[in-house]
Amino acid sequence: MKKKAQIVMADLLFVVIILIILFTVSIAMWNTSMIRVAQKEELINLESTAIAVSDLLVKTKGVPENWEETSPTTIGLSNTSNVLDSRKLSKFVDLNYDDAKRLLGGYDFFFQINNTNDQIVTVDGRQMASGLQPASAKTVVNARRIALLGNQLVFLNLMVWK
Amino acid sequence: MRKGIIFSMDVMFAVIVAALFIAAFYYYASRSVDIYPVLYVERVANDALIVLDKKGDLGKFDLFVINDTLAKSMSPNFGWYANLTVYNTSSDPVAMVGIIDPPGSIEETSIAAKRYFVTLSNSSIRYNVLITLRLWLR
Repeated sequence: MKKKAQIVMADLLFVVIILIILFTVSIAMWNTSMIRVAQKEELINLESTAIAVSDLLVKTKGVPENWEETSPTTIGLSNTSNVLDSRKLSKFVDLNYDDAKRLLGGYDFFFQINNTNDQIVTVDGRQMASGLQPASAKTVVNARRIALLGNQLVFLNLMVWK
Repeated sequence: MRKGIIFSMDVMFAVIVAALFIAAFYYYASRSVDIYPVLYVERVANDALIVLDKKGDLGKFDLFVINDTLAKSMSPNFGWYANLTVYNTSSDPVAMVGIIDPPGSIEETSIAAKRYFVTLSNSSIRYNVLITLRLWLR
């Protein structure tokens, strides 16, 4: 009887040790998974914003259509799809960063128009660039869209970051 | 003694099943399907064809001009090729007049954007043309 009790205790001890190890590994794996899921979710949000906002900028006139003369409720920078309007561009670059950020979905951003030599395009002597460079960002998503400004081939570069 | 062994094997089996379950959960949680590259490439491919059209390069119907604009439009991290298929008014394909084919292999996850346009001769339609741009991330 005494011998039998000792065997059960050793068995129990063995099981408890294994369960503790298993439980610890499970917690660690769970935490890692949750961190990855949260990071992935953040990345997907930024990617969706980059696609949606760059679509908005390069394909629509904005709301109201003459927002460059009034104030915008939605930003759009083109006359027709993929043909940028220099007046809208100038007005957009002149916007206060916080206003522009709100209109572009609420994420921090950096925006610029480049030519095919990768130089920043100027309109009326003013460089077409706006926003903040992502110096200490955790996640950055870049969307580079092809467009025309006049008859010049240009690239609308939009970086959204967090 | 025999009872003890049966108990241990039972527990061992449970532990193995639990470990497999946790490993499977970890594997599926860490797996990710990123659709951004596909959406982004699709946007760029369509942008390129719209710009070709609006710049007037398609209407010129000159392969060198089309090639030059596409080459300038694409980032180095894109692989691409384009071809033009010309139809006469009976809608039978006349010929594939050109393939713009930069070096590099075509990835399986490429996107094809298509655009139809017409060329005019004496204010009447001479050819219907289909341009197909296939684009992928290197």
